[in-house]
Amino acid sequence: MVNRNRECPFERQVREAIAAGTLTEELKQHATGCSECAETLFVMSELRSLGGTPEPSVQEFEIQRILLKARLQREARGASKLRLLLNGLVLSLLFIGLGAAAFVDWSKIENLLAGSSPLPVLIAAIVLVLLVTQELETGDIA
Amino acid sequence: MLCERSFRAFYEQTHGALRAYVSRVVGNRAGADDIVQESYVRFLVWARETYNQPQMRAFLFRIASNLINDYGRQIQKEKRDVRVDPESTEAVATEGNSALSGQFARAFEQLSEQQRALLWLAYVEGYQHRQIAGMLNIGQGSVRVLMYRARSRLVEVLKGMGVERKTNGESK
Repeated sequence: MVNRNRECPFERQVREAIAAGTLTEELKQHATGCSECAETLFVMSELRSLGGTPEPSVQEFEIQRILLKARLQREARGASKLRLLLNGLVLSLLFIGLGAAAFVDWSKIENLLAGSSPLPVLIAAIVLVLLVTQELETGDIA
Repeated sequence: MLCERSFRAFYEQTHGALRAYVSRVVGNRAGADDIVQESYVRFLVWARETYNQPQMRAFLFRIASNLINDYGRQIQKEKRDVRVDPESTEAVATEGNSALSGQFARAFEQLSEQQRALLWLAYVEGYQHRQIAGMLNIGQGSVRVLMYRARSRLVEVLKGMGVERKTNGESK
């Protein structure tokens, strides 16, 4: 069973010292008698050795590919923003038009919404749903 | 968006470390290459211009950690659907700089993906628990406990392989 409250106060110091390459004799001495710090020292040294394994050099075509893909994604993102703006504009015009119609003669709107002519309401509802789902699909984040 | 020159400099500074991290956590070279490339693409698309160098690096590792997570889930799903041929994926080389590295790398592969990521981010990249919590989407308070478990598990696996650790941290 792990005692979560019993953490060696030197463990962090050991970690930072190894990372900075400044492990003192005092800390090494401490690690010989502290299983937690000894484990940290051992695991960290070995892992850092794996991390130092030589990797292939920078390849020009890879950078070019990354830059190109990023540019395409940013353009797609820009187009998505523009679409959102246009959708907002269309919706605003719809509501303004509806409001203006109501201002002129509210009874016509009442008749429309009451079902005397449900087609325009249905079309508006479908458009609204499509706009919302489209935005949800394009709302991709890192 | 970073200008091309700044990105090149950033790429040169980070790609070795990022590739090492992703390769060791994912465990196969082909998957790691895809994740590294996609990490840089997303970094370029989403990084804020106000980020300083350490913030940019942390953001890059966070993106990579998320992609590793997605990749792990995808692999699990594929394993459920189709029986994967183990020779179809090129494993990451186990050679390292010390005599122990081969065994250590094999032991490291025995850990879960999250355990590998935790140990790597803390011990190789030197991130603080708070930063690791953000990168791996886990609670800050859990990081210390999970780290402890991961480290103990690794030592346990090594013991099972016959590698004993001396008290000063060296191995025999």
